[in-house]
Amino acid sequence: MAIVAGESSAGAVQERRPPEGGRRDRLRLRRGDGPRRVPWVWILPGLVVAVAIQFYPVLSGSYYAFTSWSGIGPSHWVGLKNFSAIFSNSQALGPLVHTLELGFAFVIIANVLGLALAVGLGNALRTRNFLRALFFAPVVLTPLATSYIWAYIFQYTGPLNNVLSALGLGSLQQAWLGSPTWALWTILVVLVWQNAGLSMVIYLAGLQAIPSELDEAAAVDGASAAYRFRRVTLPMLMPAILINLTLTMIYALRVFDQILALTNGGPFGASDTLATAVWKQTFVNDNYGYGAALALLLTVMVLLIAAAQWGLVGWFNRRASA
Amino acid sequence: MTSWVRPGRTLAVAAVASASLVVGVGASAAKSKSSSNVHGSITVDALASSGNNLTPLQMEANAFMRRYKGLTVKVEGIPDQNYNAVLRTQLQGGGGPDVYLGSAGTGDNAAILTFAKAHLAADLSSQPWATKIAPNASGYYIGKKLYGLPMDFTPYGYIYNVADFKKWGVKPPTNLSQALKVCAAAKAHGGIGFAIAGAVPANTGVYAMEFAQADVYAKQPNWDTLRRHGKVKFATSKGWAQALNDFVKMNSAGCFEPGASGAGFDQLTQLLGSQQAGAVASPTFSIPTVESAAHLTLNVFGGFGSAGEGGALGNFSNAIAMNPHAKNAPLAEKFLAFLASGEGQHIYAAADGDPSFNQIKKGTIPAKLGISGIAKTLKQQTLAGSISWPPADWPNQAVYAALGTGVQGLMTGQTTVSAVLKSMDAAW
Repeated sequence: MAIVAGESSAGAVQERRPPEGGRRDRLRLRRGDGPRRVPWVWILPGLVVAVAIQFYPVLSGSYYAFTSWSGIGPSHWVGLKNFSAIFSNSQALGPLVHTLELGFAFVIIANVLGLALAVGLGNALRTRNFLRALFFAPVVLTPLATSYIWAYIFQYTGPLNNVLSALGLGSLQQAWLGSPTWALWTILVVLVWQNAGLSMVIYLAGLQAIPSELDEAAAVDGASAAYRFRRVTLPMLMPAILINLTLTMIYALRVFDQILALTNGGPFGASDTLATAVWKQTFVNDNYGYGAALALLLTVMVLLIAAAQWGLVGWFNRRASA
Repeated sequence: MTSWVRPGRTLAVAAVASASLVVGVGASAAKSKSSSNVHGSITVDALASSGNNLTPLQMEANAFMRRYKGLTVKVEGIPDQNYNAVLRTQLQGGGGPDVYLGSAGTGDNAAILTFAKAHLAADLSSQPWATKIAPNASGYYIGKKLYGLPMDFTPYGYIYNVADFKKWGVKPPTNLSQALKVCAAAKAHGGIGFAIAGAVPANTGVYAMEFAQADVYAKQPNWDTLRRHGKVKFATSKGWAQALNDFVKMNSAGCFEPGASGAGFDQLTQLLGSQQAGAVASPTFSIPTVESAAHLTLNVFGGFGSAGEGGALGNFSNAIAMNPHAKNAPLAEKFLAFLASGEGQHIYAAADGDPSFNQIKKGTIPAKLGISGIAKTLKQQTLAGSISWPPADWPNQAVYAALGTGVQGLMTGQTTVSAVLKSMDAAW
């Protein structure tokens, strides 16, 4: 432990010297000798594992996107044929469109709902802890198991239609999971139900980090609640918004379990997304090459959207601080 | 929940071998001698049990180990939904089990002939029991080389509730117009003529195949051979168009349950078990389970179409193959010989809810299997060599998947008959 300038407990004046790892060490780090290598040695095992089990499989898997591999036997290079097949076939474009529809709808609804819950279940509410736990509970449940329960709820003879009938709304009864119009949106309901709680918790953490003095000062200055929320709370919440937007978008783009359990991508592909299309093309139809092309497309899409989100939030932050 | 997916292979991945072409398997018992060079253990890939019951191959392994003390057969149960992918990965990776459960033909991604073409299934032509498999058994041979051992026979048809049909005053239909009358009679009594798992392409595909049996294969049994040689196409086939139009007519007539497009296998069981639905198109192995669970008497009738009766569909879906890189080939071969014996064949058929080839041929199908309605047809078609499950001979699983999802689209009005047939040609 470095001895900092001042008196010791015995009252003796100690020699003033820089703390260990201080200026002298920093100079050494800049020169690139011994200690600089130490962090690399520490991260090397993790880096090797990450490259071996994450980056290498992704990159080698990408190779198959340019082949016509059937899963067994040798693969044959076909160039961009798989990608042109995806973009030239309107039916093949369906999963891409559904992925974007589901992704953007989920991001918007889950975040608005999450923020509303976080604000609504604020410190003034006596039952806030119980309600917060209640809304967060679905997050910890297994997506597949809960999806089977929802599949039962959405059955034609299931509880939802029974409730509609009991309320005299029998005309609204649907084959929710078998309807080309509704299948995708029933999946959205399940996704929002299961994940709004997580958004809520992140927003709660963000809200609690905002100094109450700022809000109080604005209120004293005569700012309305809506104005304070827009000009004080929201800008201060930006880190939480950024995290939530990124997490929910990535989650929505790669969602698989719920779709498989609820609709299996049907009817006739009406709820197929890129993730389910990758699975079907690869493991059902043995089109490993085509499946790999879809997977690569999904990966690029996730990267681009995540980068765009970060860029947008960065721009917003700069604008707010200007 | 009652399983409509067979404990051996799935509905969608059943494979075919003309029953009449497989002769004499099971006629002789395995020899009890244990040769000195056979020792140690082998691994066998099979489907995991969905309940507490032992799977057919686990029962076989137990019987084998009881007979041959000191030899070990380890059965690796793999969940049904992952089975094909896991097996392919294991074999492609150069490892894998010594013996594995596959399906006959090429129309499935665990089909033994697909593995054989990639040198992932051993040539079994020299095995002692191989002479009992006829040399032209489709789904098991490439040229003169045999690549699998057929196990039990899986018939397909319409499983129906005998009491419901009696109550509605109808008989098993033999053509489409009679089937529509069944639907009308069911409606008049507050019931449902036919239940369909519209959300499951494997089940919608069975309905389409039942119509195709009547409208295509009954008239032209070699249609698939012609398709393989490019002489016919789905899109230009009048029979195939008729088959799918027949399905559309049934759908339009309200033969299926409300909300059928979103129904799964659990609804099938519920509708048939609660005596709301009269019939279900399905493989027949689930009959004993449904009967005992719901205390019903079920039977089976064959496919029908506008043109009339189609007869029965069926195949030797479960094929046992050997890894050419088996670590213990002598023991693997000994286990296969046991499976090919009368005892082995009997154990498998009894455990799987399906009749054995000999039972069909001799007309001695046990009553508990509940297929007396098609027993005579099965025997006739088997002896005439005209029974098959065509998707197993198709070049890949994507063709049947295109049919199954296409029928979904027909139910919801998302696609047309012509588009479905074109997608099948594209998948071919």
